[in-house]
Amino acid sequence: MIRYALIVGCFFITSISISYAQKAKWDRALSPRIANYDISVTLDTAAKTLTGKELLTWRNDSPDEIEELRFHLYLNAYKNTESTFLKNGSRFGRLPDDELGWGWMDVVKIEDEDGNDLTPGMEFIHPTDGNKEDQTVLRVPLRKAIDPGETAEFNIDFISKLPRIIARTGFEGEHYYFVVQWFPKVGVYEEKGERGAEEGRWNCHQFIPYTEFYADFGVYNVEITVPQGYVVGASGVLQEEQKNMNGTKTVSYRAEDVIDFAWTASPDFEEKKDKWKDVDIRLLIQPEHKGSTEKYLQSTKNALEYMDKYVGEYPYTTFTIVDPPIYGIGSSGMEYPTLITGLPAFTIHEGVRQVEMVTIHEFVHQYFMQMVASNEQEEVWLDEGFTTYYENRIADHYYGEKSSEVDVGGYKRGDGEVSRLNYTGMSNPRVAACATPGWDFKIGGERTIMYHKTGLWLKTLERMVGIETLDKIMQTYFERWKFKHPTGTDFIDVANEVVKREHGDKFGGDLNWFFDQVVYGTQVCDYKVRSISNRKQTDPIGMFENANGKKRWRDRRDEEDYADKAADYRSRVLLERVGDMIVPLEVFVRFDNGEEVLETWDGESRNHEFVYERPEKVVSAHIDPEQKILMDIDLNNNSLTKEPDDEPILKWASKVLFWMQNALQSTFFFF
Amino acid sequence: MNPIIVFFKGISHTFRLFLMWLLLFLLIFVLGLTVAVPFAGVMEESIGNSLEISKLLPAYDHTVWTDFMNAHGDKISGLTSQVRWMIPVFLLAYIFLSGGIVKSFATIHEGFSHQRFMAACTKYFWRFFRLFAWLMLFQGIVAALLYGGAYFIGLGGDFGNLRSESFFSNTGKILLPIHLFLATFIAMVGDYTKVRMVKEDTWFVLREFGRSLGMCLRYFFRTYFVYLLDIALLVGVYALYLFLAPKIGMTGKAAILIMLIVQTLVMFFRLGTRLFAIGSASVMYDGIQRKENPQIVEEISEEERAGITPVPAPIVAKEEQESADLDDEFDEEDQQYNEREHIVDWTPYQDE
Ligand SMILES: [Zn+2]
Repeated sequence: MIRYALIVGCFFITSISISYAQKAKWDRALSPRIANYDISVTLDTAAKTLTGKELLTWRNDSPDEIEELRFHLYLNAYKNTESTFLKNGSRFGRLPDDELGWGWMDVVKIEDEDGNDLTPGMEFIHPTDGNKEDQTVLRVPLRKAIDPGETAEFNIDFISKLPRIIARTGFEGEHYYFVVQWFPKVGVYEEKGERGAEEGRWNCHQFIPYTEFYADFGVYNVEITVPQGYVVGASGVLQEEQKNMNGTKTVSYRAEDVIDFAWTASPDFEEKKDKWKDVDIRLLIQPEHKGSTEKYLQSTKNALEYMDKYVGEYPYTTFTIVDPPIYGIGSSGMEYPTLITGLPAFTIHEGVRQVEMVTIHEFVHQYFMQMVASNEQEEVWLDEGFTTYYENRIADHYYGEKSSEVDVGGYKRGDGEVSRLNYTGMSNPRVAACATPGWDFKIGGERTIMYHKTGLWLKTLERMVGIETLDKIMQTYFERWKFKHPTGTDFIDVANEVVKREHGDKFGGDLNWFFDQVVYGTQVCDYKVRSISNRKQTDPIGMFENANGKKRWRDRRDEEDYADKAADYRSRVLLERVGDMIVPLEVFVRFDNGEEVLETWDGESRNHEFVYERPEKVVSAHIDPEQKILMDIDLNNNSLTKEPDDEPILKWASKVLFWMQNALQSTFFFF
Repeated sequence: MNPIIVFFKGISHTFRLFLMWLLLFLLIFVLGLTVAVPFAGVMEESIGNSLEISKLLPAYDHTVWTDFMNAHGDKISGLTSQVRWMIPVFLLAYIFLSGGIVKSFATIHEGFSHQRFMAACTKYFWRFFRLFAWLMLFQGIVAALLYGGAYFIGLGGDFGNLRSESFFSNTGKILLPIHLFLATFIAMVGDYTKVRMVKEDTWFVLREFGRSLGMCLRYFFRTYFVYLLDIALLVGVYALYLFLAPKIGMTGKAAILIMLIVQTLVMFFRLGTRLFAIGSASVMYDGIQRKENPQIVEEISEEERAGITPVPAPIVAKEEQESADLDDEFDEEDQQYNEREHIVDWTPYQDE
């Protein structure tokens, strides 16, 4: 029910109304439905404002009496350069240079269900960084406390001024609107013990650069009024569309069991539809990007299929992909419930798959952040890192492990290997631990650590415990924590439990030794084969006691058959731990008769040797021959051979020679 | 002065200067080696004994390569900085050598002379350097006008006004061919200016450029056609290479060596096309000069008379006067010139 529909609707005489009665995929609620919203909103395309009426139905799921509510007013992040979000403005594209470019959100009035006006008690608070100028968190003291288990309703009038798209949300150009973080949104109340809370608390952080959101699940009924001619896309399922006499139209959407609601509007969108099982896929694409339609749709279907098979069911009936125009690039690559933005997709070459990678990534967020709703500000790795891991897996599965990201001419690179190299190529891979909260990355590196390092250690874990076990970990984690708010510890507990069940004590009692290093630590992994030596076993020389205890000198090196008499080689393979991360390893040693030995090393000491006394020489040694430990920042020094292959060097040196001559002759263009 | 004949003459003259061609090529090849050999050394020393390196044989491997660059990039960066200064230094050397190159084409009938080559290098360096500066300026102005124009007219001088990436492809479709044409035309006028400055031994770069520009505009179709043929040949050489390269592959020692030979030939012929263009310009220039200034034939004759068998120049001059501005006759005259040159070519340089 939308209580305020009447207020907006009374000015219009409905001319045409189309209903889209869609059957619900589930009869029951999938989530706890704590924060539910009925919103009607009108877009003023001249003033770039949204005028909205919001009915918040909020249930106190905690054992505490709730005496205040806290709201995110995200759009105030774009109000001025004093907001915590924009204080380091250089992080974003350019700041608006006109009045229309800034964004803000005003709560005009808030009433409880008894009609008490709570507006006078409202105040901005700054729980994350203490920045007094920041207005992204609003505290609203209640006239009447909400008892445990009780549901309360609040009527909120708000005006949201959309900013030019600096980051994620706003308007750009004549008529592109990407409307997210657009309504007063209640924070999450965490009871004692929940996510490590020592006592009941509001978790309602300010809007911080590079970190995202955290919200409770609920049902959203949203009526959006925009000029006729605009194509609207939104989270959830379209219920009804009606044309109004004043040249506007109102579209109604219902989204169930989601943590947020996003929408977009533009007259430029072209609509493309596709289907995967029960899921209606809708692509809203800019006409100039039409060439990328298949890239968008196919990669979405690939991701749906893969996540459905390896993680869990996608329970929603819709999925919308919004293709932003180039001037709206600030809104690209973002994830919202059942709606994402892709990359402005002007296809240059079929083999450049940025569109696919971004689409897959944002789709995977439907699992990690939308369904498994971890805190995207405090533990970014849980959504971005896990999403990167599956992005890599899906991309490499469908587009080739060595060519998924780029495959142009002879130049190929896989999405997974690019992710790994983002981390291994860092100037300081110890900059911070994965578990660092988003706002504590003071000297950069946040993206690489939270996205790529996490993706990489998950890949490493996958290869250590086997992909089947990893899938079981993820399936268990997903089933146990979907529509809830897990922490990193919850994931680790699941991983330990599943690995123990699948492998017993093979990896020790648990995998904490691994997580302590990769999640909470900054250790860097680098193992190396330092040297291989093969020395003939000869008669010992020097001074020796004989049976009578007399010292006798022995040295037969002058004798002609001295060397021939030596039968065996004493071969020594010397390994080195260059990094500070410790992992148990396999070492593969090959002899010149073709025989092979697989050794193990706990990887703890700074150096380690394997010594062989046998007729064959050691030809090569290879630490971690199957490359399970992809976290090793230099895989090339993991092996050493006495029979090096010089053809690759010849090949690449001749390529360099050719390139160099080409470069020199290119000067002919100038004279 | 049939452009096709001029084009082939440019080629045949370059073959006659084979020694110069070869030496110039060797210079480039050796400079290439000064980067390639240390590169091989770095690779061998750092990952030469790794088993991973084998992954670089069948194809490029992003992981092996990037791990190598991460771990040993500092050694490679020495080489890249070497490349950074080597290219401009080579450009300077090439400007220097251009005097000798153009002079050698101008005196093609006297055969290649090392002393003359070096003397011309020194003699023309400064004026050629100034010509280079002017060419860069003209090329810069053309690029700035085209792309700056598109930026200011199409986008109002602000990428924020970009409404669609198709702006780039649409303007590119129009501007790139125009740019390509103007850039090659300016380069061609530059070649004619070099030829003119050497043949006329003039100093005033801008005036000579202006005169060459006038000449190239007056005889636009034949001059530019010859230049296009040369570009087409260059493109053809690369097309052939790109066609052959995947067939040869580089996955075994024999294939790598065959590829090395093919690449060397490509480089040799790429240099060749540059020389063909200068050679053709030299021939074309003579033809045009003879057409426009019949007395010049006499001058040439006098010059040649000094050491070479005299030619029946007055006949050419007479015919020139009769049909000065008709293209058909122009070709006829050209043929006669060819015949004359034919005689010269077959005359041994006994007096030298
Ligand atoms: Zn993400």
